[in-house]
Amino acid sequence: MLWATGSALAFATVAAYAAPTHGTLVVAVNQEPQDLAAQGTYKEINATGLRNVVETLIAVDPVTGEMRGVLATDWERVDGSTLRLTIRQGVKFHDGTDMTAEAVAKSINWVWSPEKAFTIQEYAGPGEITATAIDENSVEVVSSKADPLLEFRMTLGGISSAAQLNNSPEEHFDTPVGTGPYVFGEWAKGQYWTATYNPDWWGLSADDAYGTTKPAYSDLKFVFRAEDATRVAMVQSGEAQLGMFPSADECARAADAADYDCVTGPSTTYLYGRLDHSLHAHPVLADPRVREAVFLSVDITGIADLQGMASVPQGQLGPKGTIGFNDAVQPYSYDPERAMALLAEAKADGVDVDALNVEVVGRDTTPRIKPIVEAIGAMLNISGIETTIKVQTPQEFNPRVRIAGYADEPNRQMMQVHVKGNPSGDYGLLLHSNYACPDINDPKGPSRSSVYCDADFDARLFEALASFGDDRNERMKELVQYVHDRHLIVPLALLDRGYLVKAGTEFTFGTDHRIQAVYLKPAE
Amino acid sequence: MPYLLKRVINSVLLLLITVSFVFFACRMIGDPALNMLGPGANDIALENLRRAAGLNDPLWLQWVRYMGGLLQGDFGVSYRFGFSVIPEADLKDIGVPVVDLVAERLPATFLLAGVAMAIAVPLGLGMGVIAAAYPRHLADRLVTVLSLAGVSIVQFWLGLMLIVLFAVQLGWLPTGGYGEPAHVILPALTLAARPIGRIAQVVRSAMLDELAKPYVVTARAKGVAEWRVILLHALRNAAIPIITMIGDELSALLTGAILVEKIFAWPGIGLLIIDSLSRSDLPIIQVSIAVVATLVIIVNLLVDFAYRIIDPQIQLGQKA
Repeated sequence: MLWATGSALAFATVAAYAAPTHGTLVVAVNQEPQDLAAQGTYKEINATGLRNVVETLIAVDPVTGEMRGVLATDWERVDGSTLRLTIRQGVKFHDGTDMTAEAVAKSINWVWSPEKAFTIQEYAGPGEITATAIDENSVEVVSSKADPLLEFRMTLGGISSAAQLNNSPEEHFDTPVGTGPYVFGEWAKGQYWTATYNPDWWGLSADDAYGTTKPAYSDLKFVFRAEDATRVAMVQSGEAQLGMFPSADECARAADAADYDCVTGPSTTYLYGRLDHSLHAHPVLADPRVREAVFLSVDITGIADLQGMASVPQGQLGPKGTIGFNDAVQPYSYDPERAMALLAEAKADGVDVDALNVEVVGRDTTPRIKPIVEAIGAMLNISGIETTIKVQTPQEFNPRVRIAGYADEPNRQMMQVHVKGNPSGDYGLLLHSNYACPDINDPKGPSRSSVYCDADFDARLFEALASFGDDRNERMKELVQYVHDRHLIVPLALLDRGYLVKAGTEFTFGTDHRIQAVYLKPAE
Repeated sequence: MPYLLKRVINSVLLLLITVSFVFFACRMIGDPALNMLGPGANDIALENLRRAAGLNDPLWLQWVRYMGGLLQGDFGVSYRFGFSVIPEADLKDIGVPVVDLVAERLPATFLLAGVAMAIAVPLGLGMGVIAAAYPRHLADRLVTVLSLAGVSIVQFWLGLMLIVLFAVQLGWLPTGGYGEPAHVILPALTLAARPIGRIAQVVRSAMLDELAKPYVVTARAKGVAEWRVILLHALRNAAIPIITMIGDELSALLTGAILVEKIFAWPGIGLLIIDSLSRSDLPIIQVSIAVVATLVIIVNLLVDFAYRIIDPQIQLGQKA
């Protein structure tokens, strides 16, 4: 797997650890969390810093990319749908209550309950997840359907105090009570949230705790700054030691700065163009030559350059190392002459190519979307394809990418230029959400942004989703090739993320871009 | 009907129309539940929200219920502020009253607008008076250039430049934030630039008119000191357009600080509106706009009554 590291840190036991050596770590983050519920640990970009307070049973190590125990010391498969975890003993929540197997089961059931409808449901997998304490030390997690990714799902949802969930569930949303190295302090709405070093953290005496140097900062402060330039200014002025997601230009400028650096690395977020297909699409898009012509008209390298913070142009929607990654699948080549020849061939065969008018649409919250959409439009024009360019607000755009929305737009020729992440390290989620035929009656939303309906593909996909190990890898690889050959989605770029850091600070982050103080070594 | 009562009734009607317009506009831009939760939301969440917010009822019934609630002081509940989950049966009471959220942000908005006006009014008045007292002199030309710059400058650019200068280069002031006196200086300066320019322009123009009138010539002929002529006679008589302009600018500060609040992370009502728009949090959007509209109406009413205080001869509500 591709793991970004600002520096490699060695793991070691620090038995004689006394106290943090540095003061407050101030992080300038790009958005205020909607809440600080424990489920927010699954996608920390929405609740930056939460993993310092609320921990998970298992975590993906940002250095090695391997799963390692956090609140679980061990786990084993009982069968395809059941996972048994051994709970770490002697751990206490920040409210002083013990982290028992019962408490862990309560927390898992809370986070993964479909009725709660937490946004983590997008990673719930094929079945419904429930947990039961089977003895004082063990919890059994069961999916109602065979789920090869159950271990991965246990790296997502945070474990929080069962006492809080039972007695004051409303506080769960803005006063997280976890087991982490930092205890939640306060949340000044619209400004910042804070946490303080936890001297009773179990990791101080555990020789298998993640992190190396133990918490180096006495306090954490996550300051909300929606404006890019002000986050940069905070680092430049010394108000913050870490600034999230500067622009490519700001990162380049940091190379000449003496007192701060820019650290970049790949995320699991992709920029892609999805062309309408089976559902309500204009008949002209049913012709494979027309679709190929559209994709051959897009200069993927140029779009990756234009995006600025993109590493390399991509041929598929997952980084190398993802289960199902297919080395044989390469980016669509830029070949406008071939595109024009394909269109002429289709026209000669009676396809109504003159009706082709691709509506290239982006959402205004996507970075640099306007020039990207304009460039794609201009590229299609070079191949003689008429285009309409739009950048829409989420209110306009979102309904159009759901089945309930695009059912109202018959004969559509939309290419949605959008971003999507896949932190799972497995193609299952991507293939399901992007290519499985959407069912309007399916209460689980993810597949409903697909515009593709192919019974053969769906049958093979659901077999692959239930498979394990090498068999799963091979099945996924075949499906990646299958969708590539049908020109359904043009992957454009794997997006990088960057951070401005105070010079000398060592900062390790994974593709999930979690900011955990235990992976930060301050500048001296 | 007394003028005061007539103005209040007109204001209430205007507010009613504004609130109703926002209410219907929020529901015209698509399925409110879907807009609030986004395309990834599942049907359980959507249905929970529709049920909790009464979105399954006919539109007219929703409007009647909403207006009835407003009249009783019930401004509704936000199900999205502070929650990434939609309340279900055992969580139905955890929605946050919108009035609390708005009330939490209003002091910050008032503070910022107040400080900006405290900077703008004396500066604008002073610059305008000096320009009018020395027409076509260097001071006049300087005021003209500066006031034009103040009116024309882009707030976003000015805010960033002030941050670069005072926070990054000089390190004198924080880049943003809230809570300490130093935090208000840069956003207030950014906001004050435009009212300084506009007030200076209006003061200059009104004062030049007044200073050309016969009573000023008479006063000067009588040997009244020039500063008394300017400040006690001409400025007082020029006050009506100046007060109007100050009221106009105060309204603009209360409604138009959104960009500045975002740049400086100032937790006022503008930032709340931005956050609510990004989340499509309709209850907050509706109430925030209603509150801002109310503030503008109150400011306009105060300006009207200020006319009477400044010039008792003015009979409000009577045709000339």
